[in-house]
Amino acid sequence: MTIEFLVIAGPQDRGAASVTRRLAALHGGSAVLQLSPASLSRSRWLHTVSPAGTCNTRIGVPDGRTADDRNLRWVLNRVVSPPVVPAFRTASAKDQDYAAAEFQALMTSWLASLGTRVINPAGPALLAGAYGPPLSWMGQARAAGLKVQVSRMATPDGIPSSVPEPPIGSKDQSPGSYVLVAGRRILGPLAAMFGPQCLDLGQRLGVVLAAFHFVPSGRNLVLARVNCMPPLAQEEEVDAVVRLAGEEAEGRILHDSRLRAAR
Amino acid sequence: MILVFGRPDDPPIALLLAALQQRNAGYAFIDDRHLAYTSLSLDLDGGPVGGRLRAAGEDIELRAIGSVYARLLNVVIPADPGQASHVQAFHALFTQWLDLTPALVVNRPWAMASNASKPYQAQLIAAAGLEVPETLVSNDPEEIEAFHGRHGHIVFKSISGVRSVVAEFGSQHAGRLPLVRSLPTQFQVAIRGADVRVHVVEGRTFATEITCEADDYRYATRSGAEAQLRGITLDSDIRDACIRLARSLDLPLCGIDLRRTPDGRWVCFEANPMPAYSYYEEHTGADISGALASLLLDAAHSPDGQ
Repeated sequence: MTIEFLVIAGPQDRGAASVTRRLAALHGGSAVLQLSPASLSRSRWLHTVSPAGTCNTRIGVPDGRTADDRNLRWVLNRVVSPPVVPAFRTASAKDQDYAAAEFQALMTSWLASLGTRVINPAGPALLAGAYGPPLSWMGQARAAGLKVQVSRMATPDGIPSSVPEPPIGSKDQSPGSYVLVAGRRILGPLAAMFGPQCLDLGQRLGVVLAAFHFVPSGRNLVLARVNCMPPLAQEEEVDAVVRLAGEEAEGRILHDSRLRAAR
Repeated sequence: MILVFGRPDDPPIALLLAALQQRNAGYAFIDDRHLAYTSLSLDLDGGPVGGRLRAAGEDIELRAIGSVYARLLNVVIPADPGQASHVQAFHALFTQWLDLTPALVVNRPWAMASNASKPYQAQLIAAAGLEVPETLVSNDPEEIEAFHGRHGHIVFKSISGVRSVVAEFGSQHAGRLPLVRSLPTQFQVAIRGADVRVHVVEGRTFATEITCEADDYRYATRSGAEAQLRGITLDSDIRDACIRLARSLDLPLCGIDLRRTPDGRWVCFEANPMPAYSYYEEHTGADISGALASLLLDAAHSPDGQ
């Protein structure tokens, strides 16, 4: 049977594993495949680009199955960096960097060619979704009506400095104070307080699935981080992502130009 | 105000500075070797991203900058830990500012990212209306052999933005083909014809035809070959396609690599977002630096920097 749903995630990613199990229960195990970064690096790759720019990708995975993008209806990508290529494990740092850059370039082309079938849409700056320099998402957050933790940053030369980590990534922060956006669904402990603003911010950033984490600042809660790979620890969050997969596969999600802009 | 970032001895920077001086244009210059002594603060308060830049005794209000030419090459990180963290912080903030400022930026880091994946950029090039070479990325020797068999002449090159020498795949490589199992490799149908590099500076184009026996003219001397460069005039359809591509990639300056086949087709290999245009200007006399200086000058004087 053909693979229609693909989840790319590490073996420790319990949220992704829950999504895979639920998809398999709904669509049949043979239609669903979870691939780890290690599996990707051991797979047989065929990625073609025609003179007109049309792509086709076939990935022959180690268990003998093949994921062909002509059959893929939905992909959940939980990988931000390319896999370590086994043959380069003992190579020089320069060669390892080269292998990583080559694999990332391949995955960028493949995932980007899938367009909105991938959650979150991939781009050259970040495999996992929208490129988000901290000031960019902070500015967008303000435009969406949210207060942000930091509005000024400076080089550390005596000026009060704060150069926060890149905000879009996988690290969880303040797990109890967040809003989860999955398509048009809004969940999480702060959904009632900040849900519409987070939905708006997600659209501005070009992400379909994200958790927006808030921290106290004086008497307010302010946005501190956007996580494009939320842990999906709650059953209802897994359910929202699985519903998202069904809707995307049926083409029922409306994607606006901002999603395309994220590419 | 115009801001130029890079190294004064980098030929594209040197040519631009000379062109600005020729036009009596005022500019601020940030030498990327002195970042340990350059400070930057950014803030979101009060509209578009603002802040201050202090370098070489100058204190610059960022909102006063109307245009920027930045060549973000490999920034040298000092050995001193304090200076190293300062330089890294500067680089992180400056990159963000380049992406966010309403000033004209040649080119924004976000826009340059497409060049990090050649097959990804090929999709964008084709979407802009230019033909790209038929491409296979694979780690399967049998598929590569089949691709070779179908097309007769194929070349291989890096997939990423890491520079590589383009070489034709031939019988001398057959014994090494199993090595591709270690890492997917990019192969393309070899396109015969004349190399043409088109520099787009906003709406203007500067085309150079390169005649060379080597597979990759950039490395011609390695194989004892020599590249001959001459300026040419493009037909309007290919000129317009190049301008359309540069605009779709949001690159006010870019170097587009094309090949014109004997049967008159144009095939595009890539769009370089940080072209070393000086090489072509020095060989052909095309005034690319002048066009770039005028672009920056016009934007610096316009109300919104665009």
